[in-house]
Amino acid sequence: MKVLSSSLRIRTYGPTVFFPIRGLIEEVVRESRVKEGIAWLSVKGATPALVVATEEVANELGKCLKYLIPVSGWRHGNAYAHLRSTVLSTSKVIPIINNELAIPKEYEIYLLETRSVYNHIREVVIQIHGE
Amino acid sequence: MKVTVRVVRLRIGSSGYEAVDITENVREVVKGLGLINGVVVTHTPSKYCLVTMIEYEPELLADLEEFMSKCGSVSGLAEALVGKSVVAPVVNNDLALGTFKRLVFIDLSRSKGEKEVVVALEGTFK
Repeated sequence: MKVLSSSLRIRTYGPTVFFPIRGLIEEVVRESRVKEGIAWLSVKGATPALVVATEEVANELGKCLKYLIPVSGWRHGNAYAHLRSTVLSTSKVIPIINNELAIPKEYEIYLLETRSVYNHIREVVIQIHGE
Repeated sequence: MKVTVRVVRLRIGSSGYEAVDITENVREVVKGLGLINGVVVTHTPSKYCLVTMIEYEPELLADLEEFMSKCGSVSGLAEALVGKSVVAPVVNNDLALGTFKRLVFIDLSRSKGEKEVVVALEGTFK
């Protein structure tokens, strides 16, 4: 069994923009040549999130977040971004079968930029464990 | 390099209703056991306790408390909503969290005393 660490740097803008990164992660999985294993994904920082969903669901989630965790009405300056990140999570774990991510084809892996930023660099750490 | 799993139990002293920044406790385990590359799963088996990742800042933690209470969940439901485990990557013998994100243990049990956190590491060790 081996452990491979790599990372992706994604340029983002926001707020509430979903960046599809499944293709980039699949490339890392293919290059790892791991047939059976686990892909541990994590985005650095206290305000982004990783979401595994269809495009339709991601669009719905974007709308729903405005009601679930509104932008204003909190004590901390950008609490909405932190709380969205904490509740949705900055990490996802996906099994690898036959050197492919074991999620349906119509599902995308999104990096969610919660903050009102432009040209922001986010780092996604990918750990592949397996053989 | 051989991949192994190590599990460590930590005791956290708690008033029964508080948030404790346990990032350095977990980092100490990572450094102490010499995990070079891999992942660390931090979990609490204690009842009505949570482990999450958030900036450890009093106003933000108060906002999180308010959010949980709005969801009707400053108790057992928070375990489902916020969760009892998190996964963090370890790169070059250190946690790769970014600048502000911390591992935070939250006790909602209203019962004073020692609580438990289990840290499981998988990867390549020194």
